[in-house]
Amino acid sequence: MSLFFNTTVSGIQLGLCYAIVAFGMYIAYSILDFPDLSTDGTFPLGGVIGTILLYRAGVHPIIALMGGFVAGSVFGALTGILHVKFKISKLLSGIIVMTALLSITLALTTLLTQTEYTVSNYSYIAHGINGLFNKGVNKTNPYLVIVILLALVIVIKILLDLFFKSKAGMMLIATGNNETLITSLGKDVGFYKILGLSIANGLVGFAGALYAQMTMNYDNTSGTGKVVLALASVIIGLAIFSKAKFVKPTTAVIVGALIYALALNYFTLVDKNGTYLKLMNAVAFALILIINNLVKKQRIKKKKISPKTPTNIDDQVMNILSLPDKQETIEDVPVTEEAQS
Amino acid sequence: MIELIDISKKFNAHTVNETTVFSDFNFTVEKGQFISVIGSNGSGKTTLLNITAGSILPDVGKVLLNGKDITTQPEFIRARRFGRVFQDPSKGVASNMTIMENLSLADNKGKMFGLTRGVSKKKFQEYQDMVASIGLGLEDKMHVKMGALSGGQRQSVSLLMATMTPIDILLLDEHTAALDPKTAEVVMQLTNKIIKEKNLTALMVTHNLRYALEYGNRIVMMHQGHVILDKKDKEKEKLVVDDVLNLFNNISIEVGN
Repeated sequence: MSLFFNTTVSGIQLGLCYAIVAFGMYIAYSILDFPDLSTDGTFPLGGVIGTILLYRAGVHPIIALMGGFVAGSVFGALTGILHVKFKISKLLSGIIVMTALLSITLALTTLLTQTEYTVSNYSYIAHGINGLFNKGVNKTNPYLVIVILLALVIVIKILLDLFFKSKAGMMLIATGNNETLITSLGKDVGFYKILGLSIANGLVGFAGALYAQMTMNYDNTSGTGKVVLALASVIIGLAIFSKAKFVKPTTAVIVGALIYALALNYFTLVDKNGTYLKLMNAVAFALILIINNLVKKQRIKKKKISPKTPTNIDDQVMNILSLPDKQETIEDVPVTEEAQS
Repeated sequence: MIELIDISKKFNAHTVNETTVFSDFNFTVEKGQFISVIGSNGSGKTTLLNITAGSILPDVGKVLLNGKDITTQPEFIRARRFGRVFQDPSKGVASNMTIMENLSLADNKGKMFGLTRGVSKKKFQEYQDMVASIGLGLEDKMHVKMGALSGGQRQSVSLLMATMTPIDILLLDEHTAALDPKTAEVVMQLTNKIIKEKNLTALMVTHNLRYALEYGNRIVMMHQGHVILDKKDKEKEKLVVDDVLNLFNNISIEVGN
């Protein structure tokens, strides 16, 4: 029971941290229709930058999180630029940045070791790094950790909600909905895509830095699977509240992240070595997509097919232009009558 | 006001599908004109609109706006002084936003889209009156998402949005073609009303010969990249459907339509 309880507590902690990644994916995927694979790279990037700032610059842990945000947003913008300016497909732009970041994050660990050697793990406790959740070897009470995480998540959620109500935020939403409208309003569609990806990956970088402080360890491989995890969280969250219009999507995404993280964490009770965790991640995600598609199909079936008005332009042309021998067609034209009389 | 000078445009150049839409095409839009452009498929009327709007670039030639060369100016910059309504009703609005939100965005056209509030409650009454003037009863649906409205309603709001801020020209891209005849009529009358009230210059591409004759003060018929009929004001009023129909039939037979 105690093991189960501890798993629940750590699951909630992870879920809250992943909710911030999911916020990023919500912007990229749900708003901009951009399944952003660079997420897997910007997550550890935020972690390593945050850790460097804490360790080498001695900044406040919150500033370290901001550093993670800035680093993530720079590379998010890069993904956007590759796609917008150089016409590389969405998936490939993400893959390019993610792959580059595998090396970049590893190279950055030399700033931690201050030698030419890179490391894949860097413990906060072993190196006396003080994060938000530890002072030396003293770790913060796990319940307090949840409170702090919850506060951070809520602050970010409120900021995002406010942003989506601003002119710039509305333009971002409109970009994903109808690019033509953005052009009509005299703005560059590409700019909003880059901006959106920049914010999205900024949030991922922030979450990466937070994850490192929460686990009191920078892990170079922590990014693996974050795209799937974030996508799953977004899809679960939005699907659950799809009928509850009063629930903001940001709230839905938090719930989605909590559910998914808890489910995965409970799985570790069975799979003690964590060997099958990623497999579980993949299978669960596939199932979510399949179920989501089935539910959508059902809904479309249920919807009554509205009587479509004839939209065939050729028919209209034929009626009015090409068939003068059809007397009714011409009589429909008042101009003729007036002009002839 | 808008001049297209010696425009040439080919599609799919250097392939078996190469089609020449324009070669040395010239066209001038004067201020205050409401021009209806008609013509068969492939006559170049939509290309004319797209080149004017900047959606496509001409291979050769210039586009001038009030004497200034805007040929290579990006579409989104040009759009700040242009209004455009598309054939597809979903293209002119953000369907996942409410009428109020859409109008707020349109009202801000040409200004900064910064971090200030996107929807101003102070403007609600003003927007509501504007929507009420369409006469479709949408004034009670200010907070309804655009996607829930019919094609005609969306197209009417698109028109409002395109003409909310001062523009040099209104481009109408077969904007009634996707609507049923009755709704098309309503939208066409609204278009006419707005153009008259705001004294707008407009370029309307249409498949509907009756609209072309009934509305506007200049009619242009195009065929294979050339203007084959161009009448304005008094001359245009004298035109009857039969004249234009005969001309249209002749060219249709010529190309074997």
